[in-house]
Amino acid sequence: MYKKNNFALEFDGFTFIYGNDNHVRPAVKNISFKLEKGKTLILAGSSGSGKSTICNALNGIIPFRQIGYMKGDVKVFGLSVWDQSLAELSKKVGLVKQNPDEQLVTFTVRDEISFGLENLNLPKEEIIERVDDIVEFMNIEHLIDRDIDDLSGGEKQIVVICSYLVMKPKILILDEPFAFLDQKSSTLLLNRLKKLYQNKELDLSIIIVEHRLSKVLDIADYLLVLNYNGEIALKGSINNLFRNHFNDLKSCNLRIPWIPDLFISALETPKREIPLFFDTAIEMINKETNRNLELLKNRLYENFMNHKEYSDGMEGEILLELKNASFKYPKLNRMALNNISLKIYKGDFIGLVGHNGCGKTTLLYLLAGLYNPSKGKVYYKGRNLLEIDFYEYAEKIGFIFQNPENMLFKNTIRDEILYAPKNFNLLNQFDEENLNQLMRMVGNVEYDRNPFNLSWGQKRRLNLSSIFIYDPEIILLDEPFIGQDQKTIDELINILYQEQQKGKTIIISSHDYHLLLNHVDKIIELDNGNLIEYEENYSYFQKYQSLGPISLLNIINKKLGKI
Amino acid sequence: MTKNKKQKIKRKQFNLDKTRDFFSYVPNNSFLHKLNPISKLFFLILFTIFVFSIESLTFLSIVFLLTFFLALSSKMSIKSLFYKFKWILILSLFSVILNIFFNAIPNEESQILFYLFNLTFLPIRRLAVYYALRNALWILILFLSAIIFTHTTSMKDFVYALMKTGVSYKYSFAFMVGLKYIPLIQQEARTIGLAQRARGFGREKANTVKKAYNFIKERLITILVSILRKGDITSISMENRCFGLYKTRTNLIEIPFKKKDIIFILTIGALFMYYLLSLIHFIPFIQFPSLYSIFFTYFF
Repeated sequence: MYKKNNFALEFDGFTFIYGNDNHVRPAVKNISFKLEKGKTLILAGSSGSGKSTICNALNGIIPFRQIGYMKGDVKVFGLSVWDQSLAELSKKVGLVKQNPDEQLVTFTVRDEISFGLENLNLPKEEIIERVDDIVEFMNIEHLIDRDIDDLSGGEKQIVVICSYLVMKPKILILDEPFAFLDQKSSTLLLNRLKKLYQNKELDLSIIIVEHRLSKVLDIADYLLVLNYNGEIALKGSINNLFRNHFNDLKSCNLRIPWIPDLFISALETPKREIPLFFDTAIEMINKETNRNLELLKNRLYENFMNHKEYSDGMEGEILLELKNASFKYPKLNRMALNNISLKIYKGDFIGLVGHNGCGKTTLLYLLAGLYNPSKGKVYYKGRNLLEIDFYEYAEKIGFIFQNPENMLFKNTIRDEILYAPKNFNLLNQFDEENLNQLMRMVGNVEYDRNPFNLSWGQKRRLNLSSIFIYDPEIILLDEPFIGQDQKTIDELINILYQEQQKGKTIIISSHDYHLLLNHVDKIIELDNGNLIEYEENYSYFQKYQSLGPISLLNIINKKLGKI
Repeated sequence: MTKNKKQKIKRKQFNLDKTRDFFSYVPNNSFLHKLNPISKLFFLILFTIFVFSIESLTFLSIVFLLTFFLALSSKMSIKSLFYKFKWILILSLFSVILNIFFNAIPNEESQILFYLFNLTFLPIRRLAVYYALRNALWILILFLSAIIFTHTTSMKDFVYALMKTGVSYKYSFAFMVGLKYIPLIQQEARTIGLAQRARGFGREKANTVKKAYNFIKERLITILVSILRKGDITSISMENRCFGLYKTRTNLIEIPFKKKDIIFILTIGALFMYYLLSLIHFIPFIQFPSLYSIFFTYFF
């Protein structure tokens, strides 16, 4: 008889090459792994390592929609993908992508959730019942009758997940679901995912593509890491990997969860228990000796507080100043920015935080002179920005937009870098050496390649090169890390750090608090267009965010003080 | 001081979306709002044919006034109507001027009403004035009826109602996704415009055709790539939820076809039939003296 299969999916020597040419480098090579039913797997790796290829192989895009060469086999519930149709596969496998806005096709939440069931031609009563069930399960009764446009990013992502869950898939793939979400939305989504993970009735296998491991560690059983060549670098259960292969994990170009990293690097005693989560870490701290606590404390400072310490009188020349600046978009009723006054000093490295839609991008546009304030004034070195010619000021600003592709306009990398100097009439002023250096920064590629064919991280570095060429005084970055892998983020931060040393002023908006805590000097927080706080890094995080490293530091300090 | 003022003008607000939505749905409770979108579409089509078949200026003016009252009855405020009408009025005035000068048959000497500024090369002809006024009224009436239709019909309802009439749901959804994409693309285009300007684009004006072509090409390719990437993800997301698997599809939302609609459609259909028959003189129809005949024969 047919043997009962316990595996949700099995990859057996899976290799895939995109396109018609079978001599190019395969996107993934020789992938073999199995995932049991009802378990959760984290799929990690740098961008371009083939994570999406594996996701597409599961839901039938490969081999049914994508042209390419495939070797090996992929089995979903014991059946090869070749023996199933795209429709059968899409009934079993749901794939949630990064950006919720691109996945929502209808106007209201109820429509969106019932969209798949309607396509399946089910009777109305059944659709209504199943939608109600899933709404109750995911606790979104308050959302069900609202318009899609009124939802926050996290709520939208939850609606997308619901619209798959309602079809009762056996496998749910989440492709970097947190990438576009702010802190609040991420927490909301994580909350619901936890619920999904703990529920064993659904018998749902989940694959989460994510390189920030700490975020999803407690809702997963297994970890699979791909290396840059599309091969498996590491696989196994999370507990096993963290206990026995931590150093291998660390070399994998991932964002390693900070707690195990801290304990392993600070206390170099082998065979000791490593805490994975915050509560276990606190338990351990309570048992630790004083010497170890000191070590932990020092390591915490080293890992997380690399920003410069401020003392009075250190602040230099005022570079930019906002005086009661407000901004209103013509079509919206509320103010995008409301009466904001702040001073930015030369050489500052400032982080800009706040929920999505709170006016961060608008503030950056005002500082860059791209928009004029509706009320109030912006001053650059004491001069009103309105009285400075647009292009004269634009030369002093380097602006990095959220999507790297929005900044690509030319056919070759060289032309792309020379785009701004050409416009600013600076072509005769720079030297070839500088240009070559900037082109090398993009990566090891031919310089006549089309920028659109580069990898995501290379595009981001090209963006930086193309503003560094005219040597701007102020660098503004609008969520530059979205969709980037850890290596690129580290490189970016490094480059920015070097630029700061040269006296550049940098303002960066981001949701990544750990990164900001480590590198920036000051934090600006906005909420609904209002300036909530403008504070030095450490005191800001002490006051406002219950951020892990800070809380841990406080606990250690308390304990050291007691003894 | 004057120098400063001059510079201020240079830094004007760029790329902000200031256009008001001419064709936007405003929910309300009027008779037209409650009608099924399909019956409204049926009316709109017949009405268009009807309007284009009218030759009499008097009759056209009466129809225009009636349409105007229809707009008021569907709870449109006069203020918003005039705001929306501003541009179309300018357009129709322009059309009147063009028509007067270019739409006349030059040989018909007898029909010259007068010479503009007493210049013999600027004759104002009778027929040209008639054509000009008629075309302007056509434009105004059709524009007004389109405004009424979109003012009273939510596009979402329209798509769902369309699916019921037998139009394949794939087309209806293509239309719906298109509607959802418009603001997304606008936003993207604006961001890309800003990205170009931030790197000095536009400092040099496009003074040759080739330059202008290059400027457009640069931006269009970037926008296109961004739209294609988004479209790809949307289509995968729809296909993943079994879109297009079967020929038919359950529709949870139903736009009911009420008694009101049936009566409305029958009345409109009957009136239209009556008008058609009267056109071939099968049935008598009220004969409107044309404005042309009353006005111009009287005064000139």
